[in-house]
Amino acid sequence: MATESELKKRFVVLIQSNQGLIISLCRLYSHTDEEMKDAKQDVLLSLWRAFPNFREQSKVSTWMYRVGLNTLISAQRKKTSRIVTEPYSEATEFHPYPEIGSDDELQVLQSAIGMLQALDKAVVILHLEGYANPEIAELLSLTDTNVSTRLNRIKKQLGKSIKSLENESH
Amino acid sequence: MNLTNMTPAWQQFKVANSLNEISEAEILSVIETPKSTGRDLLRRIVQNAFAYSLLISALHGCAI
Repeated sequence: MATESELKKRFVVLIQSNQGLIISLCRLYSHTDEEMKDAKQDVLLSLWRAFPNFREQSKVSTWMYRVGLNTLISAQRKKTSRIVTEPYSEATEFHPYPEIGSDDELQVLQSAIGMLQALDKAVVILHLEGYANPEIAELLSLTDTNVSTRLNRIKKQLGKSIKSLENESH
Repeated sequence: MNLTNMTPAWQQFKVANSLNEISEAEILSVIETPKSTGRDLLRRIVQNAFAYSLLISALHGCAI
């Protein structure tokens, strides 16, 4: 049985070797520096809570997508329901989170996916990661039909967003 | 729109984001100071209910 400090050490190594995945997810669910910080904290904490039950024989990235995406989706839902009642304050002022790099393609990807709804973002991320529809359905507790319907709608929506983003940049 | 065209950009996005290091100190600070749990919330509700009932009974006494 691993001690608490051994578990922490293993967890730190696991996070640091998959930080690209974690930061990418958080970035796509954040619009401001503050949101990015909160998202990272939420995801790290959820992963830590789920870590004792993580079975090494399953793929690390699949486990991270499952925990990370479900955490970010529920955080987004809570935020949306809070926005209606929250008074305006300096803390809620919009400080756009800088888009990554100078590569046009990456900026378009980040902006276009960033415009989608929380659950649609998760579906498209898992699709880009190469998961099949039944796997996506299982990871996000959806039905196969729901995933394929969503993907069709997302493709149309992304096509439109990308066109308008490309027009803006030219 | 074919999403397969976006796969290379997604992979590049992840690589670019892996350059932003999450430090050991940052990870430990998050996992060692967990946010308030359900039990904390319940304790706060009970405390507030108790304070509220005291206030109500005091005000009721004043009214008499």
